[in-house]
Amino acid sequence: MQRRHASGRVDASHGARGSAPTIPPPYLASPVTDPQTTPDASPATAFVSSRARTRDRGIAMRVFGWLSSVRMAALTIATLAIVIGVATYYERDYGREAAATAIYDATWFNLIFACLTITVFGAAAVRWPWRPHQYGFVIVHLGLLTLIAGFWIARDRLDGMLAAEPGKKAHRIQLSTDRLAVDGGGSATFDPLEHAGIPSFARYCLQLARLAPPVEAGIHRLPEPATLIDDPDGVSVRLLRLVDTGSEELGRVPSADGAPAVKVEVLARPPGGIEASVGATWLDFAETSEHSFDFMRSLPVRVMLGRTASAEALEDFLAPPPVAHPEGELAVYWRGERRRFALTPAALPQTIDVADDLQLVVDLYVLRPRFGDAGLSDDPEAALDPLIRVRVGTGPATARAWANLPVFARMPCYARAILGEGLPTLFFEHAACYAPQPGEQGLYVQGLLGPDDRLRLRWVRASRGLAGTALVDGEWRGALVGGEGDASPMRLTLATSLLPRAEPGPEAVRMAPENRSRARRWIEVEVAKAGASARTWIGLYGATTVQLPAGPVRLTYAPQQHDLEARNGFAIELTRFVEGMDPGGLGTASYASDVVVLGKDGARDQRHISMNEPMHENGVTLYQSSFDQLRDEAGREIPGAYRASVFTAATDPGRVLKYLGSALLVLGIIVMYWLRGALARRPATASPEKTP
Amino acid sequence: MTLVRCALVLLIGVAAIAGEAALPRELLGLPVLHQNRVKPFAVAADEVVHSITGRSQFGEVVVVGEGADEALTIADGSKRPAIETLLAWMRRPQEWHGKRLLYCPWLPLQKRLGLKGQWASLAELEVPEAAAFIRDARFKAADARGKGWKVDLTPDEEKAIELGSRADEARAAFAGQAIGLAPLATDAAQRARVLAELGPLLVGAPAAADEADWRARLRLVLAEIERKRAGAVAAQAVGGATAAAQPAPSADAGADLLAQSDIWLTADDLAFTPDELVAAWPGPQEVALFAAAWGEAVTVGTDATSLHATTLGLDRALRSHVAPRVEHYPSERTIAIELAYRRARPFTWAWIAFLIGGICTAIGVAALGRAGPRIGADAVVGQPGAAVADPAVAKRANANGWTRVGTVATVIGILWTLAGLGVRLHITRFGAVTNLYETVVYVALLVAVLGLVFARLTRAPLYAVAGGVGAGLCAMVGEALPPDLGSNISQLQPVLRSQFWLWVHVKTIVASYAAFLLAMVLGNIVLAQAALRGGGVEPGISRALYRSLQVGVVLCAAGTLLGGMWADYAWGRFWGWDPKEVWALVILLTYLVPLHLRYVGIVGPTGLAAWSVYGFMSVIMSWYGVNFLLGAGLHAYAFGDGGQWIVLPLCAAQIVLTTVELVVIAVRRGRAEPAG
Repeated sequence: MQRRHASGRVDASHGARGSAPTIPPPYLASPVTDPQTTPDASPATAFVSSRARTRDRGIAMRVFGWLSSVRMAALTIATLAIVIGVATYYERDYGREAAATAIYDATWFNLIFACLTITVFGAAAVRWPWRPHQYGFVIVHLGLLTLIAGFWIARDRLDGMLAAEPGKKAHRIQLSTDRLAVDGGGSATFDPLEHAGIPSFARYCLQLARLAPPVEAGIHRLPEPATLIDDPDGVSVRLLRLVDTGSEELGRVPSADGAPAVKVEVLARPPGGIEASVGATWLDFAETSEHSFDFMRSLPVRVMLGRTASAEALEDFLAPPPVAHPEGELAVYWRGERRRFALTPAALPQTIDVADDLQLVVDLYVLRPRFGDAGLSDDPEAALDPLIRVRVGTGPATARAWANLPVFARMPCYARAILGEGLPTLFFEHAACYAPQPGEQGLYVQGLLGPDDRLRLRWVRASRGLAGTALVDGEWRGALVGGEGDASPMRLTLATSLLPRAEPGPEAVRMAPENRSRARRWIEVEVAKAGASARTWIGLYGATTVQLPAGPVRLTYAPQQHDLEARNGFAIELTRFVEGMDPGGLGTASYASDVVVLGKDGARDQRHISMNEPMHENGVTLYQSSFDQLRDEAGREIPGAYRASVFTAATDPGRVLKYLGSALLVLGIIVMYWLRGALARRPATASPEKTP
Repeated sequence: MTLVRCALVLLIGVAAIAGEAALPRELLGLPVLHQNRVKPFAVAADEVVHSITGRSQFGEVVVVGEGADEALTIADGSKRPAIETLLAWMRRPQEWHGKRLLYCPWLPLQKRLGLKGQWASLAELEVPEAAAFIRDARFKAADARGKGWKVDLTPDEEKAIELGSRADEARAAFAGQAIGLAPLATDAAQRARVLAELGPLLVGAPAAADEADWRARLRLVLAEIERKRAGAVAAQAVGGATAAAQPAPSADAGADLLAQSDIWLTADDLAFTPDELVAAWPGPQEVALFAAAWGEAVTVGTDATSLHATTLGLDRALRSHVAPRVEHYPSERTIAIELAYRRARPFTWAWIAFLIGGICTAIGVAALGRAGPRIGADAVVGQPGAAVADPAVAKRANANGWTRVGTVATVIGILWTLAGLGVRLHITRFGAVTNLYETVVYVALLVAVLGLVFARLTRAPLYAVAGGVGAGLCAMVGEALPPDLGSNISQLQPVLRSQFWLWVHVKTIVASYAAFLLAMVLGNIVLAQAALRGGGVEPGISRALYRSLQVGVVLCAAGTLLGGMWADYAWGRFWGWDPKEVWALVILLTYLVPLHLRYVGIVGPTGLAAWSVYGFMSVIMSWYGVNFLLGAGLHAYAFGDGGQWIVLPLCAAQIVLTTVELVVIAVRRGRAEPAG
């Protein structure tokens, strides 16, 4: 390969930059390229690499030359292509916002762009002064730099959503960052997804390669609490945990030192219908230990929970011994012993001496209780639900401590706080519990938690007697009615999940990435004031008050807002939103809104915004984005009815640069590919060969 | 309009679809509403029947074979045009209830539901177990969607949901509800009367969540009007300030709602089982009268004359009363054009023409290669006066003849495609390159054009070969696509309804696919040649490749940036890292790498050819994958029903083939090509 360059031109560039030695470059003799492969093999327009151009310069220039080399460019481009290709999969799995946080807005990703910028700049710069055949290439690179500058200038541009309800002034643009504020104190804004435990790009690559399990939505505990508000004299707030897609209300979450809790859900499947949840609730063994699902008049489902430390009680619960006495028996579990006493409702109060330190007095016996205004009465019309009231006396006979305890036969261990240590476990054993009672209705689910953190379940159908038992260790799901071997056309399913140690907290919901915002975000913060601190959960759009020794602290948590009125001097009011329909009214043809722009001085200006027809005002552009449709009680969309019209509100200070850069880029490519020959021929030194 | 005229000229003399000749022309062209578009009855019937049965011509399904080999097939000679099938369904719905017609090609689901083959009858789906399975799958999907959860469906469940919708469509088709004839209320006065007179008759709990039932929808609309009135009254009761903030309930609000929900009466409501409400409906009675007569003629199956007369009457009535009030109601000419388009199937002829063009040119090039100089950019075709005394002259003339035939065939293909796209443009009123099918056809067109233009400019006939073959294959893919992916003409997404941007952005970016496709086909040809002949790819041919890539890169860059401008204009951001945007950028970056590396000699002619082939995978991902591999990826089985079992193996085969060729080239050269 014989190529001779007008090295003077190269040197001139060095000279122009002020510091270069003018040495005839030895690289000129070294064949850099295969003669067949270069597009232009003519000496004047032949390619000289950036590294070659800076080979004999200082170390800084050589690094620069290396950075601006074609190899570097190819490497950067390839890296970028691979990264963003994978990023689209990330976006599919975790949503657009997560992809932005983990990839597109991440420092490392911007470093790739910085690298690209240097390469683009350097490749053009080291070739100064440019010769005609390089004009296209220079314009392309200039266009790229302009584009990148456009994006750089606009990196903090406004981009949020503005929902406008008809007849109401709308001016608060909701941004994607969150804001936590202390009443009368500081506030902090943060990107919630940075703390949501979404996988990093590297981790995601491992997931794609099946080398790591996929990260699922859940409660994410920050490795280190993040300080949101740091005010040594006032209230400081640290972020401990975050769940991005959580339940609307607080439920229970596992904790190291909490009390047991059980989530109970009943699902019903009518004949020929579909299975649907009729209700779900959390029960603990203290405040709430009972819940009634009254979804069908003929078959109310009552769930009752209790706990005991007695192994004998647990044993008898799942395999109850026969009840010999027709009036029922009182089973007493006390200090490792089980005793059964026949009940004599005819002779109340009935005193039972169980042990030296335990005396029981049964003073009420009701078969069909009715709780009316006048108190408890026995009503033959009421459902069969045998109940006794027991006065429990513990301690030596001289110093007895008394407690009143109602004991339901269908709820063997009505366990409130009083049934703690030092009290016996009492079962009112009545045949009604176990034997079919024709004509009676109702389904009773009884649960007994043992010291082994396992829940014993048994369920009684009033008309059929004891119907089944189960031992629950964590999650359990089974048919109460209509299961295998049960001819009932209706199926009732019970789903329970037991948390042996739980505390209040939001439950994570697995939302589809595009529906993230339909679930509620929760954060757990530690609030500190005057040396004391407390933890609390707050849901987005919520507020909570934390009691501290130094006084109550009120926190509000909401998306960060941009006040259009205060910052840009106008607000809008929706007059009318129209969803244009295709014939038949089932396909949307267009979205359009009529709005009034409310100026500072009370000016009112009618405007129209529709898809592909945005509105510009004071540097802010409003684009029709979507609308909130009204739904009826059953959750069906009501055609033609809307709650609010939703606009994207954006500014773009880099718009001019972006458009200019785009134009330069395309122009440059055209010049480079098709006018290069013409340009190259202009100088006298140009080759006679036709360039492509 | 010129395009439309060209199309009409080309379409003249095309044979009618077999079996339809007996039906009155007015019936084929009766304007009906189907899937949000008013179209000829014949077209609507095609779409309904294909959607339910998976076939455009359907007949009696019979069992063939015995025991384990039992299978279903459509009996020979029983196939009927879609419009006849649809009429038969509407005439005797009870009879069809037990016949197999619902397309269910998924084997595991056939087993699970106890079907004999790929068609199920409605009766088979009403067996409790089958019905429960479909119902549960639908509920699971609807429930998860309603709550915004990730929808985790098994493939069986997904197919069961599809089958369930086919069953619904079939029931609607049987009842004549699949097609609409006239809007319920069209002008303000009629709407006001509907609200005033018929509101009380309809108010009540909406019967079903079945949006397609106009009564349910009308009830919802009226309930909403009532709700708004109640809200306004309550607001007024609260006090002056609140009342002032609330807009007063305008008399037009209800009419507005009714206009927006634009409810249409189906053939069932108007023609087959006219409803009491319809009898009391305000508006011209002429439509209802003719519709009823037509319904009788169609369902009872009277003689052709009366069918002809009633159809004509209905057509006239619709044209005089409905057309003026419906935006873009197709004119008689538009209907005629669409029917002609349907009969002509221009894109089917186009791919045949393209393939013939490509093959003939290839034969010509090969013959020329044997006759004299080697094939490539340097080969000169048809140079007058060249080597007169050469004994190879005859051979060359022969070769040139082949090439000419090829060129003519390709040009015919181009004209067919242009005509077809012109007609579709006329019908949709928008850019004509709006869905996968249309992009495929458009790419085929551009590949053929680019191939011919390049061949002409550079005198390298290989371009024409690649253009013809590429266009032929591409158009074949389009022909093989299921109709609901685009060969059916449907309405556009609201955001796409911008003629300017649709033309400027979409046409540019899709044109870049064509250039890359041309390079890909060229790359395949030259790599195969090089592998067979030994030695690397010749620099001359490499230059041809380079030219295609250049065109592709310019179009791709321009298209992507134009897309950015449209996005800035329509959505308020120039760039939002949307998957489609990202993949357009990936294409650009993918092709930029070899174009850069070429300068430093890392990528030579062989490398460039290989890159043209490998790089095309990024185009496939952007073009097809983003919509069908990524887009369907909201559930565990990311690969939805998008033909991935065809596309992915083809891509894999292409990669393997190219790699093998590269290895062969490297081995035969005796030294490794750096990039290969």
